[in-house]
Amino acid sequence: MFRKKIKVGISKSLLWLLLVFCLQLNVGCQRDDICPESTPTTPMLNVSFFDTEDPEIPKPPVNLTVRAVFYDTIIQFRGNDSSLRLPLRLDAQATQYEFILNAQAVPQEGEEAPADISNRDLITFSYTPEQIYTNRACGFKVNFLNLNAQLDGDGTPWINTIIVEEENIENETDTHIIIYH
Amino acid sequence: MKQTLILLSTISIFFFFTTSLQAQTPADTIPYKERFGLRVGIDLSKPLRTLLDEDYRGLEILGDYRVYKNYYIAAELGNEEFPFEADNLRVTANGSYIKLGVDYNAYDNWAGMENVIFAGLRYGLSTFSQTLEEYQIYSVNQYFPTTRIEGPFETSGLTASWVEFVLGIKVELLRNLYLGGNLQLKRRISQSTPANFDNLVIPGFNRTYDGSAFGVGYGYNISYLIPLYKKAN
Repeated sequence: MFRKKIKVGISKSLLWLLLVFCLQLNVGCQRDDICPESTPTTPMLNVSFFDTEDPEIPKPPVNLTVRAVFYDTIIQFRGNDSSLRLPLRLDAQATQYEFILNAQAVPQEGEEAPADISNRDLITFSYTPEQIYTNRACGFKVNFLNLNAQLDGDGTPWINTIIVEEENIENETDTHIIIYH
Repeated sequence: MKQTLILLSTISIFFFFTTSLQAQTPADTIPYKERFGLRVGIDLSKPLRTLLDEDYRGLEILGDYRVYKNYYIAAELGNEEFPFEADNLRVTANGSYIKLGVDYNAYDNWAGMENVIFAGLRYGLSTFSQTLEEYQIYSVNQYFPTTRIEGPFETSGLTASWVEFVLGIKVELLRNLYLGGNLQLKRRISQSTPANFDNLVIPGFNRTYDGSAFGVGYGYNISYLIPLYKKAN
């Protein structure tokens, strides 16, 4: 009788212990996987601007506004840097950007708009997207292969030549495109 | 004089206890015959999860056979449809598995009891397919809207094998009827993966971890012992 009581007692406490343990395991294993920033994912296009006359000297374009054609959001507004990072469309084989030199400033209230001296050039970047599995948190990334750039300068382009420096966009450290102007 | 008295009384008490213990021992050494046989059962956690999680479906049958003293050969056979969802992708693995190995009962039962607290080793083998249901391409820059790609993209004919260390108990609740639970630690030996992808879940192995060959698992089960013969342990 006494033994039976102990037996039931042991069985019960073991079962409870197991139940608690398993519940904890259930909760503990549902860890959220977050893609860490240090993991290389889909790279952006690196563009550098150089002087046509002196191809060794970086030359920042004056008040350059950049945006993708048919997109409202501006990537860079009246910037004066000699390099630029642009995202490329993942769902297409080409992305078209407009590069507006001497872009018009937005007039202050009560002020008259300054004379429009802007010059708009279009560049079409075409490529072959290649999907690569990274890991379970980041999922897939895209590398852009066989990069090509075509200038459409309608009459008076400010861009002189475009050189594809790196044909395959696989990282964000290389310069992929050099624009001489 | 006083010290000698204390010493003597201590010794006599010690002797009293040892002799009284010895007097009990013969009663316990009557050879008690234990049941040897085949125990078959099903895992309870998988049908329960099938009810609770609408994307999951699983069933496992298990059995062990006592071969010698406290050693059992044991096997599990199962089939699972196992979903896995992360921020940027969703997959389902579907397949069958078998686990074969031995259990060692480390529990010293009292006469008349045949409970099991065991440590076991298994070799597991799974054949399955993995379906990438949908995914999106990860880009830090969100200028262009994210591209969501709908599947399903299925890769079948995948295999994986692993070794498994099991710790568990089996308690006899009613005559011949056992309720049990166990914890499993697994290490993958081999696997074939889909091209340009990875096995995120493997039936029988459960979810995998990036950059690690280890996995974990648990089970609760109910089983019935079919006694075949009785033998003194």
